[in-house]
Amino acid sequence: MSLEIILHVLTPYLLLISLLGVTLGIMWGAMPGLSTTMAMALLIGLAAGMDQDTAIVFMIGVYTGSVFGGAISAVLINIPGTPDAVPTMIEGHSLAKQGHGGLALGTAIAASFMGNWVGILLLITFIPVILLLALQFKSWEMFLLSMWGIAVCGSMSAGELPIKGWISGWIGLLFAFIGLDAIDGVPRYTFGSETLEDGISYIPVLIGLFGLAEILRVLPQKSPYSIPSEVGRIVPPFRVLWKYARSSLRSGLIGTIIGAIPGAGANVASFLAYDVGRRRASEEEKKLWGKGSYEAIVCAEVANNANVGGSMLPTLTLGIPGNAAAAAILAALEMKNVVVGPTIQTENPGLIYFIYGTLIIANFFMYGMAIALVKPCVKLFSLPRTLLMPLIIPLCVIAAFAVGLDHFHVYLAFIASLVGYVLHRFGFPLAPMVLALILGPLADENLRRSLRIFANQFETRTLTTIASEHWIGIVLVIVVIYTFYDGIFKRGKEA
Amino acid sequence: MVQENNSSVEESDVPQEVVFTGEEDVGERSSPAKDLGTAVIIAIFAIAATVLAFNMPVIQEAYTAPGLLPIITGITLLGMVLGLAKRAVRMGGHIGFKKKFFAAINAFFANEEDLRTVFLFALVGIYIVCLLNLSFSHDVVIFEFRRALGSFELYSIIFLTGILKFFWGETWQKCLGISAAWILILSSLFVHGFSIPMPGMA
Repeated sequence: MSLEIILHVLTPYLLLISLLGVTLGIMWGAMPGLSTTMAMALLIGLAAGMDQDTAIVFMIGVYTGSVFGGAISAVLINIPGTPDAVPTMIEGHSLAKQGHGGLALGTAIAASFMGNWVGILLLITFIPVILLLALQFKSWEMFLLSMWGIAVCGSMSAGELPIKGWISGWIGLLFAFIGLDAIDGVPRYTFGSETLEDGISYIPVLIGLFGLAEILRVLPQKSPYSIPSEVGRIVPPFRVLWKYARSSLRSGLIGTIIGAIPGAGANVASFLAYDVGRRRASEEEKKLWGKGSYEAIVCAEVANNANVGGSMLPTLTLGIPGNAAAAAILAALEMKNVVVGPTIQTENPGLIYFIYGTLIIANFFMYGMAIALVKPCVKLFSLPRTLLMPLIIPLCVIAAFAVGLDHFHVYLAFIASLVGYVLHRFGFPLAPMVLALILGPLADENLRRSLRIFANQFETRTLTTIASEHWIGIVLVIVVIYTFYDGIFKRGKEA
Repeated sequence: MVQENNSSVEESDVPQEVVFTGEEDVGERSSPAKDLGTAVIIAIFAIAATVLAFNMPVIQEAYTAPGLLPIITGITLLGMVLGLAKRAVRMGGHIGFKKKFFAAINAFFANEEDLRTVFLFALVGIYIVCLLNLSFSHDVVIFEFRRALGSFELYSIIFLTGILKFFWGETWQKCLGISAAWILILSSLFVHGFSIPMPGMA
């Protein structure tokens, strides 16, 4: 059956959709100021009008393409199209100034291709293991996993001050409780409003926080950039990649693992791989680091692209998105009534194989289109940001409206944009808030259910028996405590 | 996420330094005084949420009450903001807080970029309110082709033309042409391509 499903991805229509998604993604990612998350948030609206397979293929295509796209503007105009392309910008643009822009971009393309493969292969390897483990999760473990997801997302996205990430997540949790509670049907924080009884959907919030708020932040800025006149021949040099094979594999592993941690996305992956690569580089190579090192480009690009496969791991197996872009894919799947999580194989047989196939096809298209699109992208850079960004505003409105075809969701996206802008100005990350909105109801329901089960079990069983049945829960309690301990006593003191 | 100057393309051989400050770009705008101010506001929010959660009815046992996790969340959020406030005070955020507060407000309104943001936000707000409350729709028939045009197209074209004129600064005709073409393509794509009605049409 798995081969049959993978072959289904090869139908001309889905291939065309994938090609379209990758092309759009590369061009989007290449434009300074337009992030992967923003693209994914806006696509939720489009996905509402597509069938399930088309929506998945299109969104994964855009995701794969836009993660690479950031490298183009990073190398050619010294502005990272996406934040994870900053290390590539430092190294690639230095090489471009020395007349090696084509080779630098070629290295980035080959490294991205390699990175995607590492991510996909690790995804295929680990999904059965995680699913097997996830099936052992009971209510208590699901509650702890949700809380750990929010806590670790706060830690990873806030940098040196994790408490701000946690505060953002906890605010999101309180918003997640709005509406009728799932067990007793009691209205919470609704203030008598029938509209609020349905709760706060995270999709318009995602559009507001990462779409509209981003425009509010970037559009008023005045930062012109110069357009390069000559790019040179784009040659993806696999011999360079072979030379740095160890760095590639190490960075791919870092990218995939980071992608699997909630809240840590391509940015953490590329910076971490870049930093580890610098420490482990030969003395000769170290001298080039920061002045135009091909190894540095390989490290950063392999890692941020491997992140795509990594981020799909917790999204599909646990229903916990690896990053905000994966949250958008989760939202699109939910809109199609696809339930992801430990039971994905039984409830949606074949979906995982379909996603594997989609990722592989998107990677091949990314490789081809990246080479083909570099020169058109240079022409695209001549379009000013002040022309492009306003065009996205009506798209945000349509995307928010498409979620429920009602006014409430549009207002919600608008309010979220204001909240997102203000929180960003005050140094609070936004991803934990979205993750908390997704995981809040799950945490609430599972906590109360597990407490009820524990209350019954305490009457009939000993503490040791209960503890032995919940060994995963005990491990998770330690992990949650360590996450807070690390943030408060280690990184908190450094800040 | 990163603290670096995009416009500075150094010609020297000095290696450029990459500074990572987290998955999101949050480091550059924070200050102890700002942290103290936000801590106070979020503390009020946390207290209100906790009080409301305490007033939620308990249908079964206390440990399955609908307000249980909201109470825990509210109290822990309060603890976190107190931690943030303590750090801000330790770093001198409370010294001359009132003066810094008014200075920050004055600086905000003196900064052209911030004013442009306020203007943009207000325009987006007006656009959304008009779009959702003053809706209408008319069928336009061109030969055999019937196309519903309504408030979305009208308000969006007007709004987009204004925004483009203000930020892009090209001629009115150019801004209007681009706006009209973009909005018509967008609405046609969604209505006919994805069967999603436009706001004001549903």
